[in-house]
Parts: sequence; structure tokens; C-alpha cells
Amino acid sequence: MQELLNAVTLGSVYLLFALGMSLTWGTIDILNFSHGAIFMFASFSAYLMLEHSALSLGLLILLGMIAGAALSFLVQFVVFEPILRRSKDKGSAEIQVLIGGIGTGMILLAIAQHKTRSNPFGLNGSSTESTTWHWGGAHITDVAVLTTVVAISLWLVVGWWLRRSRQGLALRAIGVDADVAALMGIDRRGLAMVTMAISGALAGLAGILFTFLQVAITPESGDTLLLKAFACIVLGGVGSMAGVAFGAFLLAGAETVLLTRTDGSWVDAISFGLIVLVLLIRPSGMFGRAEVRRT
Amino acid sequence: MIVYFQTHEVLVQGTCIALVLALSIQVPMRMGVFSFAGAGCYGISAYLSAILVLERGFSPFAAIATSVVTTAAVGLVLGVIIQRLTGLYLAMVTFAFDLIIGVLVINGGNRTGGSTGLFGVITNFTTWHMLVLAAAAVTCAAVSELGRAGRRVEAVREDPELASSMGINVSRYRLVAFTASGALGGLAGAMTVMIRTTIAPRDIGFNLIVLGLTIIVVGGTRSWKGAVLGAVIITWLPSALTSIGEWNTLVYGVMTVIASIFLPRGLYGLWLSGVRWWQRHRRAPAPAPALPDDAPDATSRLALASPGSPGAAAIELGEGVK
Amino acid sequence: MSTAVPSAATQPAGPMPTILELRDVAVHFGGVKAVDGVSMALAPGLIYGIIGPNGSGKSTLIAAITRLIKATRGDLILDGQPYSRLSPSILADRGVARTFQTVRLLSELTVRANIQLGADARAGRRRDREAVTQAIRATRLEGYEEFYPNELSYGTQRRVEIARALAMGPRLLLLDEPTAGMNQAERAEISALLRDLRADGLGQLLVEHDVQMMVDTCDYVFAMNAGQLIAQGPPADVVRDPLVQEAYLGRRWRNDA
Repeated sequence: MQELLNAVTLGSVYLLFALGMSLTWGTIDILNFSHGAIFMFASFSAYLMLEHSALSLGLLILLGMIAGAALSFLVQFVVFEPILRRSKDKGSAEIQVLIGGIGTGMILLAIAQHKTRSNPFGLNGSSTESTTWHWGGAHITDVAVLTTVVAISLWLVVGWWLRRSRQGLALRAIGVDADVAALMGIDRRGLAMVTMAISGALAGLAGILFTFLQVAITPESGDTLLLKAFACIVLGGVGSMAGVAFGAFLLAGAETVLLTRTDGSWVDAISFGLIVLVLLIRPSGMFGRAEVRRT
Repeated sequence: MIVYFQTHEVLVQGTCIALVLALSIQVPMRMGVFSFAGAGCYGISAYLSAILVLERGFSPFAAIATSVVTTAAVGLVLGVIIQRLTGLYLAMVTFAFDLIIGVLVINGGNRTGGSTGLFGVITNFTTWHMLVLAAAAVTCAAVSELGRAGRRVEAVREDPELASSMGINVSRYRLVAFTASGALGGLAGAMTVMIRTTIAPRDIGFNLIVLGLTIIVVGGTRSWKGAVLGAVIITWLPSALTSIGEWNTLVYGVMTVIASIFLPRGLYGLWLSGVRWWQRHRRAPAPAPALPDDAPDATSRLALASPGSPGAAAIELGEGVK
Repeated sequence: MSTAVPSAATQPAGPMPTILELRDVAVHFGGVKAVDGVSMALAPGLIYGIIGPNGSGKSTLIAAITRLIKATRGDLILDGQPYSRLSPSILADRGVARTFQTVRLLSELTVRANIQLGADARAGRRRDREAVTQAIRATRLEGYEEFYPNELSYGTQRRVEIARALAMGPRLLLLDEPTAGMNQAERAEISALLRDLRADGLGQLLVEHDVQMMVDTCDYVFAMNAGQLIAQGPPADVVRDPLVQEAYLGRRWRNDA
């Protein structure tokens, strides 16, 4: 039972984090490699704020989301848009965006590392005390419950938004064929900025909640999470909302089971192994589109 | 010169390692294979050669040779398994492969020294040996850029369908790319452990990929000259700007971002574009076609319609209906 | 679907040697039948043409012949040996070269290097340089060798593509709309070039839109529509064929003609 609760909580965090990545990847075709660093940096910013005053969890979450949104927006504006503007073809643009993201991540990492000396940091200066509930031999904190509720609701909201709203439709059009979408009068640039900001906000939210749950994170935590998010998206299929949720909970479940049965150092290998397996056997994931070469 | 070399020996070593590591990413990239498996093979080879020296008393050269052959084979096998994947997915799988290797070495028990790794790998391997090996690797890369091989590699990357119709077995080239990435990564790893006498899990993993990629992005993606340029810059810059100190990563990050926006082909690529621009500037433009452009087609074609076949003229008119 | 037996007027007497043969080749994409049972036999050393409106399946057929697309059914036979399951690179080894509908030159290589890519495909190395020089001469590209593709006019780029194919020393040359986008004068020049090549013994299969080009250049023409062969024969006959006219212009014209 405890395992199940842990898996659900972990899966929710993965979902929140991967949701942002899946959003930009599936629509505007941006795989943001600094997403992990932004996740970490949002939490780091909150940590810095806590050095001055004890803020409530709610305020910290808001702060994290703003930091995440701002950072992602900046990355899009300063790095990705110029790359897209200058590139000649899609293939090289993809690589450059990838590298630009890695570089940005390195910058954020360096700043956080400098301040914390690569030691873990947490948000325990917060004024909010976490309470634990007990239920049939298992326990769960209110933050964990909050995380799960938030993750699933936001997932539903984003999914609905993509399907039903005008901007969502425009986004999906861009995802299918950016050129035609532009011809139809869709403002790719504006939408891209908004999408990145949303994605960043989600990352920030995930960052704050995750730090609370794990008690502390290190500056490097973002990068490991990046790969796991990739695993979630690939498992479920790129561009699929149902897929990313499927992938998140499946991965979390596998990791939790492995954590309790073995000594824990193999846990990370799970996501890595899963990626390889899925890409070999079913490259399109459970619900997504295929990306396999023909020649 | 020699004195300078001796005081900066560590930097020279670092450059050699970084160079070969970068080549392990660049060589496959030149064939359109976006593989980071070189970093994983770096780890395999470093540990394998260390173990061979410590447990079996291998000479450093035998250990290096064995490790390189092993990692070349690993690269090939990996390639056979994943060659159907493209671009990003390929990159991610190789990335995952690298991290799995990292997990494996941590869990290798006494053999691999767990989290502390292995140490005491003392041999007669010197920086000069390292330079020779690095030069050999660069030579191989350079050869693959010349003449027939160079043209075919270019075709495989830029237009695989075209390459097929030119009789190039694209699949085989890609497998060679994977093998090369394994061999080069292995060489870098083996050289590292021989020179530094230790290897630990924190030496392998994501940072290797970041290092290699940064070198190529800054130096140049298409040629060994770019890799050399990048390796030298990345290795020597921090010591040249002594004020940076611990902000290494930040500087790399900024350089990478700037390069990704403004230098899609790296510094060497920029140089090449400049050379080409200069050449074009100096010589006359391409000769005009031998025959002058004619009036719009419709009139000419009607004039050429064979007499007595109204069908022909009718069909030609209809060509507008596409 | 009649098996293609070229008429006596243009084909040699007696049992016909074929260089390329298609038997009931079909290419289906899901529900779409892009090519729906095409058979043809090509004798060596002649210029064949495939004509048809857009969407008739011409380019798909070429893609199937060159193995860049897998045929859903049917046999592809070169010099009497089937190759329906082999990889595309086999064709170059067996003396078949092709050009593409859109110009596909390597942007990082000079004209000379691009053409050399074709010569690289030859088994024997010794005649490489000669092959390149000859190809350049045949396509009148002297003086262009050191330029890059993006510096050249469209027509010139197309000629480089043809030169590249020639440098391979092929026995059969497949050309997918080689004169698309050219003006009348350029077209005439290409037509003359192809006929010169035929005089040297190079068989060709030409996919074309322009009927005049077809009439001027080809010995024998296949007309396609909606994935099937609707007519074949000497160009003059095919052009007058009512089914062909209907395919291009619709039923009204056929009734009026």
C-alpha cells in the first residue's frame, strides 16, 4: 500500500515535469534541454528567498512558477528564437536548439553550484509545516496529496486546453505543419513564447513540490530528471497527453518497486533501460507518432 | 618550447583526451549519426584497461589495444541494434546507454571499486605516447574526410536516398560510424586511466558528453580541424583566463549558447565560410548559360506543335491543367 | 494490363533482349493505389518515356523501380535477374543511374566533386578521372567545375545532376522530369543531349510532363493515368490516343476531337 502511495506521488511529480516538456516538444517542436535546470533553479530561487524570510508553501509555489515561467520565456526569447530565425533547415535547427538548451542548463547549473557548493539544499525554512496522515498502515504527507491532486488536475486542464481552446488548436496545427500554420495566420512566435512560459511554470511548480517531498535536492538533480522525463514521453508517445501520464506513472511504479526490492542504486538504470527498450520495440510509444528512418 | 610543454603537461594531456573524445562524437555526426555512445565506451574502456593492468599485469599498450577493440565491437553491436533510429531518438538512446554504464560500474563490487573507483594503475605510459595515439586518431579522422571517402560520407549525411542511388551502402556506413565512435571513445578512456592512474564513476557520464559536444559546437562540427581547435580552446581557455577559476562550467555554458546561436558550424566552419566568400568575391560569377532565356513557353510550344495533329496541340494547351 | 511488347516499327526483330522488365508492379499506400499493376519491358539502347498527368503514379513507379519505395507486389528484373527485394544501392552496381525530380546536389561540394561522386560508384578506379572529364564535356559544363551548387542557375544545376549520373558509366539512365522548370531553349538542348547519349548506346527511361519534349526525344512512350498504363507505342501514336487525350483534358475534349 505504501508502495502504491509512493509510486503515485512520484508519478505525479514526473507528470508535472514531463508535461511541460511534452507540451513544447509535441507542438512547437522544441526539446528544451534546460528544462531540468529550470526545474532546479526555480527551487533554488525559492531557497534563496527563504534565506531572508520564512514564506508559506503557497507563496513559494507561486514564486517557483513565476521563476520557471520567466526563465523558460527568456530561454525561448534569447536562445531558441534567434536559432530558429537563422537556421537554414529543420535538421540543423533541431541540433542547435538542443545544444543551446544544454548550454543554458550549464549556466544555471554553474550559478547554483557556486552558491551551494554542490551540496543539497531544501526548503525547510518555509513557514508551512507539513502534516502526515496515516491510513491503513501507510502514511502520506499533505504535500504529497497536494502534488498528486495538482498534477492530475493540471494534466487534465492542459489536455482540455489543447483540445478545445483556439490557442490549443493553433498549437496543435503548428505541431503538425508549422509552415501551413503560419500561412493560416497563426502567430507562431507569440504562441511559442506563451507555451514555453507555461512549460516553465509547470517545471517551477514541480521543482518546489519535489524539493518539499524529497526534503532536499542538489543542483544536479535537474539533469537526471530530464532523462526520466524523456523516458516518460517516449514511453507514452510524443505529443500525446494520455501518453505522458501513462509514461510518468509507469516509470514511477517501476522505480518504486525496484527501490523497495533492491538496494536502490539500480533505480536510475530503470528509466535508461526502459528508454532503450521502448525505442527498439515500439518507437512510437503507446499512443504516439513514429520516428523511424526509411533508408 | 620543451620547457613550456613540461610545465603545461597536464593541459596537453587534457587536450589529447578531450580531442579524441570529441572525435568520437564528431566522426559519426559527420555521417548523420547523432551518437553519444563514445562517452559510454570511454567508461567501459577506462575500467577495462585498468582492470587488465591491475589484475592481469598487461602492458599499457596491450591494455589500450584490447580495450579499444572491445569498445569498437560494443559500438558495432549497439549500432546493429539501434541503427533504425533517427536524430534525437538515437541521441537519447546512446545517452541512456552511457548512463547505464555509469550505473554498472558503481555496482561492479570490488572489481570496479564501487563509488570510489580504481586507483594505482601505474605504468610506463607517458604524455608522448598519448600524443602519438591522439595523432593516430586524428589521422584516421582526416583520411575519412579526403577524396572518395570524404565525398561519400558527405552524401550519407546530407542525402541518404541520393547516396543509395549512387551505390553507397548507407547502412554499412552508419555501422562504421558506430564502430568508430566506440573505438575513439574507448581510446580516450583508456588513455585517461593510463595517464591519471585512477578512474572513478564521477569521471564518466554526462560531463563527458557535455565536454565533447561543447568542443565540437565551438570548434567545428564537420572536420577534425574543428575538433582540434575546439579541444585546444576548451582546455586552455580556463587557465588563460585565470580569473575564471571555479566558473568553468559557466564559461562553457555561455560559449555553448553563443556558438549554438551564431556559429552553427563552429569556429572552423565560420573560417571556411569566410574563405569561400573570399574566393567567390575574387573570381567571376558562374558563366551564364550558353543559350539565352526565351519568351514564355506557351507561344513557343504552340509554334512547335506538329501540323495535322490537332490532338497534340490540344494536349499541350491542357498542360496548364495540372 | 497488357504486357508491353513494343511495336515492330521501333524495336529490333526477333526475341527482344530486355534490360529492364516490370511484371505487374503495384504500389499501395494504405488504401491508395499509386501504381496499380504496371508491366513493361525495355530494350537496351533506346529512349523510353513515361508520360501522364500529375498524380498518375509516374514518380512512384520510378521510386519503386529504384527501390527507394517497396513495391506492394510485382517483379523487378534487370538483365534477366530479379532485384525486387534488394537494396537501392544495388542498382548503381548494375549500371543503372538516375536523376531526381528536385535537384539533389550536395551543397558542400563543388561541381567537380559532385560529379566525382558519380564516378566514385564505378568499380574500377583507374578510369575515374576520365569519366568525370567526359561527363563534363558531354553536358557542356566546362568552366563550372569549381563553383558550388548554390552559385549556379537552376538549369545548370540540372546539368550537373545529369553529369553526375553519366560519370557512373551507366547502361540505363532514369530521368525523373529532367526539364522541369526549364525554358524551351534549355529543353531542346537537353533533348539533343539525350539523343546524343542514345547514339553512344545509353538506354534511357524518361519521366516527362512536356509532350513536345517527349515527341522529340523518345522512341517509345508509355502513358499512365491513375496508376495504370493506358496506352503505349511510338510517341506520335500515343499522343493521338483518345484515352490519353481524355486523361489530360477530360471527356469533352475527347468527344470533340
